[in-house]
Amino acid sequence: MAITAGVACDDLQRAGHLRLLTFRLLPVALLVMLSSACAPLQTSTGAPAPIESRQPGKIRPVEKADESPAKKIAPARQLVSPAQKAVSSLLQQGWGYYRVGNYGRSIAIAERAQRLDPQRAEIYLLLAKSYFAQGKSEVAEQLSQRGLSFSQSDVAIRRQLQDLLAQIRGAVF
Amino acid sequence: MLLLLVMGLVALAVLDYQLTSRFSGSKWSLPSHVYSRALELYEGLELSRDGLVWELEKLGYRRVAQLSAAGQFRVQGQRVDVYSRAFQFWDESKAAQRFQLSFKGSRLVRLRAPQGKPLTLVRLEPLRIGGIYPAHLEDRQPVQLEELPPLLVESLIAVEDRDFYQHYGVSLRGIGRALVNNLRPGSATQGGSTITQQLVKNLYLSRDRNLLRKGLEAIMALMLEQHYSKGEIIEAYINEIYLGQAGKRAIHGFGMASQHYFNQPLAELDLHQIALLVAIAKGASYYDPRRHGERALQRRNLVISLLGQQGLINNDVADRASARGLGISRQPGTRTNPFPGYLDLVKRQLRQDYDEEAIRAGGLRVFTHFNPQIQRKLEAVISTRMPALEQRKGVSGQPVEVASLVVRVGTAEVQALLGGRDARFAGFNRALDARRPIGSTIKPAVYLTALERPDSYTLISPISDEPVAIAAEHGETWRPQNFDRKSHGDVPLYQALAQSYNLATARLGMALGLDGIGETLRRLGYDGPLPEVPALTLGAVSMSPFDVATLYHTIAAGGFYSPLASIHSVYSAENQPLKRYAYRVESRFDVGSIHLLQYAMQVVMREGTGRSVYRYLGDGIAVAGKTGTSNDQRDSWFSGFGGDYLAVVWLGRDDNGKMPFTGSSGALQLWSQLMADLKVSPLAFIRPDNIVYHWVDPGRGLLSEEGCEGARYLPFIAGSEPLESATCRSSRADKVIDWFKDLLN
Repeated sequence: MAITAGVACDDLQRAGHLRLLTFRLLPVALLVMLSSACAPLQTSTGAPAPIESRQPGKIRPVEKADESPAKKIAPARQLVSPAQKAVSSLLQQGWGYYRVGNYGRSIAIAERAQRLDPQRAEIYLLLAKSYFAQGKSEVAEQLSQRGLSFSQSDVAIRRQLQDLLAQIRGAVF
Repeated sequence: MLLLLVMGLVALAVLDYQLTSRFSGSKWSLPSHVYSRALELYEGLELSRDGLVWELEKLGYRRVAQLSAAGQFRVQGQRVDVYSRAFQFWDESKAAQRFQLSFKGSRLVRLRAPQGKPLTLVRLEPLRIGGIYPAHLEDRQPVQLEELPPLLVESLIAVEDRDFYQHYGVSLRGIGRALVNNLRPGSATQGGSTITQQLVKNLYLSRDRNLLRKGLEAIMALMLEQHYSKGEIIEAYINEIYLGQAGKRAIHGFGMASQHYFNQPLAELDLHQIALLVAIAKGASYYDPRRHGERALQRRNLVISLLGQQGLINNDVADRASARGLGISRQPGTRTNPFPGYLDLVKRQLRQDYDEEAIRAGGLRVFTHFNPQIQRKLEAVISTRMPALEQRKGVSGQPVEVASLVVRVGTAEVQALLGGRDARFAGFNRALDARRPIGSTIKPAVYLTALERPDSYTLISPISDEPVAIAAEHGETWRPQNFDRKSHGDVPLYQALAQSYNLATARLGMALGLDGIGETLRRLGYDGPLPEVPALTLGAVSMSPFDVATLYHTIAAGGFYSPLASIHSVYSAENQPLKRYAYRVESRFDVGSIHLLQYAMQVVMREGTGRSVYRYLGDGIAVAGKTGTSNDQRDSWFSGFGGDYLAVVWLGRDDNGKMPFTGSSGALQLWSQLMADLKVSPLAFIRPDNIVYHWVDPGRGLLSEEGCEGARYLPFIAGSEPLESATCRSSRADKVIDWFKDLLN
């Protein structure tokens, strides 16, 4: 019964092939089905035929099902850089120079930090703010955008970058 | 008579003018010196103990049992104690500093001050990696009197001109003493010229030995002494004197000679080393310590004994110094150009801001992004892996050439570059100048053009890989073929890229239009010529590895273009900052489209033409890239990136001959080994705001679920994902059926 139901929800060609052999290997099949495959086979029993809107018959996925499954490629979380502490220390210095209006120095220090960890959004905030203070709005705008692309894990920096970008573009949120 | 007197006075005035104008102004055409990046040290840094020791030795640090001065280090197991040198960086003046480092495997795990206080960040001074020389090829590193080590001036005066502080430029007593001394057997040969006369001769006069020249030399020496102090004269002498030869390059002055013979700054030299330089001053060729060691040693010990005789050192010190070996470095510390490929890039980028005269003779100090640790690994991979690859494929005759460069992802800094297989050969720089067909290396640009149109294309859009005939120039028909000479029906877009299907790409490219692909290439950063032919879609465009690295860096950096840079900053000969090359970035592509492309380029590495990379890298290291092979396998390319490094590798023959390598079997193998050696970090594959992920059935273009047969977790630009769902057939069920089939068969 389990076999019949399971095959019914699957490919007919395979089902036919199996029927011929069921009697020869019934005990083995029953054992396997009961131990490992019953639940998934039964869940798909009687399901409606797939809705195909993109001529699926013509598309053949390249990898075969029996090949070792490819590793799932998925978005990653931003890694914590081993240079995190060093970068934080440099940023602290850089903000110090920014606050006293020494933008050349704050930029130089931010770039040093960038070399250690190019994915730290705060570096781009410091760079963008320093250039904006120097009147280089275009450079500041591009740097803000770059910073935003790294800012998903840092809400506060993200907000500051968005505010800065709005300021640069002359818009008000 | 009066006329003669007037003429004489005029001649003297002219002579005086010439004398003072040269002496007061810039006395020499100074070469520009090029430096590497400064090594930044912090806990967690990927750096082995041996890697640090290698760099310290390159910097001329001395391995000692006990630290006593800057420029020294001590190794105890996995711990290294360093006494770093002072250095004037762009953003800070760093004092000499002692610190301790501990290593575990290939990682720096502990950084402490001598008292145990944790240090966050320490940097070493940059390494001198080459020079750009004036036409006369004189190399010197001017030093000032106050920078000189103790005893150097005293030793010179004791040996060369004992009455220096007493005479007015010419010393009759010196001439007499030289005559007597030279007649006495076994004594140091002494000339009668004072240091001032020797300086005049070297700076102003020809090498002729005649009475008129001697007379002129004496007059000018007297005049020089009238205008300048003894300190100014001895300083000029110390920087002017010829002290050796490095190939075609003449080593002038004690500053450069110290680097040439000892690979150390002059200020760090010990007595026996100072005495050797003073000995060499007598005749740089005759007393060359690398060619005539015994002769140089005898002369050095003579200098030391003279210092003892004159009471400048006591006998114990003299004996200890005389007992020491020559102490010269194995190789000259100032090899003309050990990294010719990289230096070539530096020169080209310098020429955008400085004229040739300033570069060759202005004494610029050029600080670059060159990373000697990465260059060393790149050179090692090429020199060890290339012969093995050639042997495996039975390559004979002319060896296959190589070009490669490594770029830091995000900052666009070129960190290493190889212009050819012989890393030391300063010839044709293939990394910059070998413009060769890029083949499938172009495909990411074609697919990016499609992915920027989410209304028309997603990663699962079906692309036909059926044979295609396209009208080309001159009434011809272009019929591309796949590498396996088969067609594969309709394939999802991401697989067409991953498997590098030519038919699918040519069809897609023609549907997108050549203009669109050309515009994408421009936005990625390519500014060279673009043939407007259908074969452009399959890479019928010639680019250099540098061009390709520029394009791929824009992809690696999330669609942000930055020009690839080699120079960080430029200082004057007087150590004044002249120019800093700031980081520049420009958003050129939607980050979402780039995310999709990066996904597909990861599939290349996991399942497609690049999958052999995981023989070298750990499974958790996500990398993205693309193989490239030109017609008849004349070019083998691989270009790709992880989280921190991007590298391009090209293999080919200079005569454009065929090779047995594809992009996969050639360039990719070197690239993979390099990335493994660099311990590349995983790609920062962060989901942008406009990207959504869904389980889909790519074959049918429908939404699916995790665990369903053929289901794949794929990114879409929000709004472009499929809306309808496929029926889920469990992949487990399929496996059971397959198990049965196997059993029955």
